[in-house]
Amino acid sequence: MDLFANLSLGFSVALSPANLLYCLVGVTVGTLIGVLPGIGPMATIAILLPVTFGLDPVAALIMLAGIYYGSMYGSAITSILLNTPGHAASAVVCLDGYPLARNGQGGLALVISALSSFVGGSLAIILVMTFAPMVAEFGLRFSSPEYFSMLILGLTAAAGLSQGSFIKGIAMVLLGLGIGTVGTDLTSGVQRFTFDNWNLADGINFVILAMGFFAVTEIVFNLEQKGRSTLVHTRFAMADLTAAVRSFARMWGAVLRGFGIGFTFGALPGSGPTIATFVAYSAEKSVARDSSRFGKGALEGVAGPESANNSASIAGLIPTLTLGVPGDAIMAMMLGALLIFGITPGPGVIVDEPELFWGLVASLWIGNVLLLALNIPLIGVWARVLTIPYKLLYPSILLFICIGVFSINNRTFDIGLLALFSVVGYVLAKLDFPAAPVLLGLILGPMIEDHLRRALLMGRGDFSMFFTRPISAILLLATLGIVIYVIVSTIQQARQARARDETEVRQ
Amino acid sequence: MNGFKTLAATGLLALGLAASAQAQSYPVDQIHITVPFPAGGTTDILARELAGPLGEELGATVIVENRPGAGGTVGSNYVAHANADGSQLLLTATHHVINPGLRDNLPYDTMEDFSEVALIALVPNALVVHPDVPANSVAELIELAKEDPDGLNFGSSGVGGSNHLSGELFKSMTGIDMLHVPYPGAAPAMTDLLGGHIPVMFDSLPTVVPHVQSGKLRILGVTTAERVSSLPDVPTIAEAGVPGYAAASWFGLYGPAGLPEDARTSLDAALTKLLGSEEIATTFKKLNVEPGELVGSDFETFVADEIEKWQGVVKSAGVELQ
Repeated sequence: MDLFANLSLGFSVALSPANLLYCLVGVTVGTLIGVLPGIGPMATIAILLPVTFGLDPVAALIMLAGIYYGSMYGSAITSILLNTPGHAASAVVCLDGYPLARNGQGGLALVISALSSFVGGSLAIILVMTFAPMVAEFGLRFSSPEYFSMLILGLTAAAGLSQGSFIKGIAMVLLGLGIGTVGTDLTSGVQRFTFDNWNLADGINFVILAMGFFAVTEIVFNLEQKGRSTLVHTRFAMADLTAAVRSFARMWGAVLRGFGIGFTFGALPGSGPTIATFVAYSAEKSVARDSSRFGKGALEGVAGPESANNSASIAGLIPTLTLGVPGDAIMAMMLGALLIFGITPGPGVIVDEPELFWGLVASLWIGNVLLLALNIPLIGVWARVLTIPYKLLYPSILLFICIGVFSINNRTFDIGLLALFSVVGYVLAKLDFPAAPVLLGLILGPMIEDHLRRALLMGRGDFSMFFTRPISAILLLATLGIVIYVIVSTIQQARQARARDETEVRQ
Repeated sequence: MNGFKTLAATGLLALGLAASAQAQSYPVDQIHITVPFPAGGTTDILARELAGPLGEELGATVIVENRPGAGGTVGSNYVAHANADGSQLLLTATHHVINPGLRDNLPYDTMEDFSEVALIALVPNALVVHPDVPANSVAELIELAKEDPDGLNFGSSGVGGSNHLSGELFKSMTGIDMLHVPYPGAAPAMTDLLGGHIPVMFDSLPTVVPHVQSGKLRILGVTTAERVSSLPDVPTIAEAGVPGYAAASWFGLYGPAGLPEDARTSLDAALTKLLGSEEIATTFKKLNVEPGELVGSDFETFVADEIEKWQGVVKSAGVELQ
């Protein structure tokens, strides 16, 4: 019964006209800035953080949360339409969203993305309301050995991400791992592969690589087509919307799986939405009857990861608010904002500041509704972005990408790095090397190394803890299960193929 | 509007030319405060809280810019080589005085390349343990570490940070052994401390207090030389068995070396007034930091002492990088 009392408190706070307005402003401005190519949620929040300083804490947090998921969705729009992921978690939606846009189904992809986000997010909010403290307690059982095993499971599950040549996929994962080793070694503080350049001391930011390998490469590819458009624009009318909603009705499985995966990964402090989207994508690919559709515009490849992304972002608020421990850099910024208002996040927040906590939870849901209401009518407008003449569109995208990359660290060095990655990305794409596995290597590599080394440090070099700690052992068993499943199914397929060949020969 | 600006600028230029026989006037129109850490961290928040009142006091627009990287080195380097007319300032944390001992290839000289302006704020660190650790005081913790030299790990926000070196200072002054376990930032380290995966940590007081109140952590002492006013019952580490121990985190404001005399005087006056003001006291109390009191040459002496102290700690801990 407490839940209902809390909820009515939450909604009474969130539905006050002023807070509703802040929520709407946050969502709108967040979407508008997030939709700029190359500018992700991190940059958007950093730009808009000072705007919230004058507000009271509840209003400010509601607005920041609005900006956060507004910019997440904005990022998804440009990822689908222009192949420019401004945030690690939206890289995956490019894989099938962009091919859909190229086939003239950009509007459809945007509807699926919006609805999947909404459903995934709403389900996550319900779980946050009911189980937040319990989930937070469980999350505390995870330390480096568990994270290491979880990342290995994630990496194994996401291995299906690569398309085409297996060897080329592996080569690109290794390239990503290699790039991930650049920077200061966490355990000893020694600089690795920085060539005495201070600009490399903190490693290479994901966004710079993604922009070079995905966005700029794609622009150059389009320029090669000499006047011929590779982006097909189609009008998006009311009839298309109803058709899109009908296609969404077939995505329930993908959305629910995405939600489950997203919530699990998001609720653990220190994992966040990125891994969730990678794993959700692989999950869809492995349950699909015909996995060859993936990478060419499979709707499940948009629905699953988008649901996972939003559900993980919302679940990520659990450790942030209940423990005062941010799950990622964006959450760290939100916590910083709380401190400005004199609220110290921690286990006491739910009890000491019920208006803040429940108001925020209620506004999360209202914000998601607003986001949907705002964006469904706008989808036609977004899809029309593709009708802008290329001589205007491409220079502006490049400009925004440069602004986005510069805004990460306020450094021109990063723009030079972007140019380098653009050239490398283009050459590799010409040679048919897939780009997604590099991102996987770059994101997961440093995390795996960090957790492995810390686990061994804490255990004084004893490897057995990976098997004696129960959560870690279960995760590793699951990994083994996946490997065995893949091997067995490959052998079976080979056998069936041989049997077919033999029958054909006999006939 | 633009026309007005041009007019105003022309007027200012004419004034400037007229005054150029004397020293250039301070304050300049715009003052940039570089924060060498990402947006949202304590240093960033302090800079943004300071920007408004400082701008009002000096009659200039104060802009905060984040240039993160390499433990504050990237942003410090930027200011070290910036124009020394008082338009470029640096607000940075204890890293600034730890780095010279830690890194032998700094692209600047920490003592020579900066003008020390003021000590803005202090944050005490606290020695905390997970409640399962059988130690209720600093003395009991030392005893425990001596009985089982392999048994205790302590977490930190990364190699060379103030909460790592607070621990190293503690080790070298007590002669005990604790294994240092670095994390990518204070937050993940705190998570592992709350989960009991690491038993001991030195972390900033504002972060640990809510966990101590809810019983998830036990506080053994504060790292400052004197007790903290908000926690009068918690002993300092010095009085609890490690005489002479002191290691607060602090935040200082600097400019490039060779600030003109009038810039120095204006900044000194403005900061002396601000740091003693009711407004800053209230704001800083909200942020759980204490206003600094040292301005100008007093602050310069303090910085020199701190560099020497941390160099000693780094050497005895053997954590020198590169």
